[in-house]
Amino acid sequence: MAVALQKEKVGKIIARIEEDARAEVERILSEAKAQAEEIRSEAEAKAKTEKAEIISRGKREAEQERARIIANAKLRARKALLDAKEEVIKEAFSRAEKALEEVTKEERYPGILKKLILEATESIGGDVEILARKEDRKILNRSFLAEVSREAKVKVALAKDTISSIGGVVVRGKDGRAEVDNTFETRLERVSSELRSSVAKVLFK
Amino acid sequence: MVIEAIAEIQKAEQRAEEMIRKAEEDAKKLVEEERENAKKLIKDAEAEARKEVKRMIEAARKEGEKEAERIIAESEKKAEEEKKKAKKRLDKAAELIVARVLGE
Repeated sequence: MAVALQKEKVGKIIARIEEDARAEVERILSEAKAQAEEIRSEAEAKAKTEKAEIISRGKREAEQERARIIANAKLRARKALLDAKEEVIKEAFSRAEKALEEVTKEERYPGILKKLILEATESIGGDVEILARKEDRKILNRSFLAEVSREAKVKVALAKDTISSIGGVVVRGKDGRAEVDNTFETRLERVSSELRSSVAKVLFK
Repeated sequence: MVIEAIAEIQKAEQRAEEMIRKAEEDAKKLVEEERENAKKLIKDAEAEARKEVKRMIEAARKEGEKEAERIIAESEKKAEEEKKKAKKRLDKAAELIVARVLGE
C-alpha cells in the first residue's frame, strides 16, 4: 500500500516536471515568434521607407536629367539662331565692302575723297600730306589739292608713297606726328561694332 | 524503492532540461533566420527601387531627348526662315553701312 502511494507521488512529480517543461518550451517559442514577428515588421517598414526614399531621389534625378537635356537643347537652339543671324550680318558687311569697291568707280568718288581729306585735316590741324591709291592719284591733281587746301585752310599735298586699299585715303600730318586712316576698309572696321545693332535691326525687324 | 523514485525524477528532469535546451536552440534559430530574412527583404526592396529609378531616368532621358529634338528642329526652321527674310534686306543693310563709312 505504501509502495503504491509512493509511486503515485513520484508520478505526480514527474508529470509536474513535464508540464513545467512544456510550459517553458511554449514560453520560449512564443517569445521567439513574437521577436521574429517584430523583426519582420520592422524590416517591412524599413524596406518600404528605403524604397520610397530611393524612388523619391530617383524622381528628382530623372527630372533634373530631363531638364538638363532640354536646357542644353535650348542653348543649342539659341546658338543656332544667333549663328544664323551672325552669318547674315557678316554677309551684309561683306556686301557693303564690295559696294565700297564699286564706289571708287562712281562719279561721286572725288567728292567722297575730298570729304574724307577735309574730315582728317580737321582732326590733325596743320599741313598734311595724302597717301592715296595709285589709281586715285590722277583724281588728286593740282587743282583738286588747291581746292581742298583752300577749304581746309591748311596746305594739302600728295605724298610720293601710295597705299594698297579698296578706296579712300590716309592723311598724315606734315610733321609726321598724327595720321588719320580714312581708307574704306579701316572706316568699315571702325564703324562695324557700333553699326552691328542697327544692321541687325534692318535685317531682323 | 526510494532510490528508484529519485532516479525516475532525475530522468524526468533531464528530459525536461533537454526539451527546454532544444526549444532555446529552435528559438535562437528562428530569430536568426528572421534577421537574415529581414536583411534580404530590405536589400531586395532597395534593389527593386534602384531598378525602378534606372527605368525612370531612362524614360526621362528619352522624353528629354525627344523634346530636345523638337526644340532644335523648330529653332533650325526658325533660323532658316529668319535668314531667308533677312537676306531680302541685305541690300538695305549694306546701304546703311556704306553710308556710314562714307559719312553720308
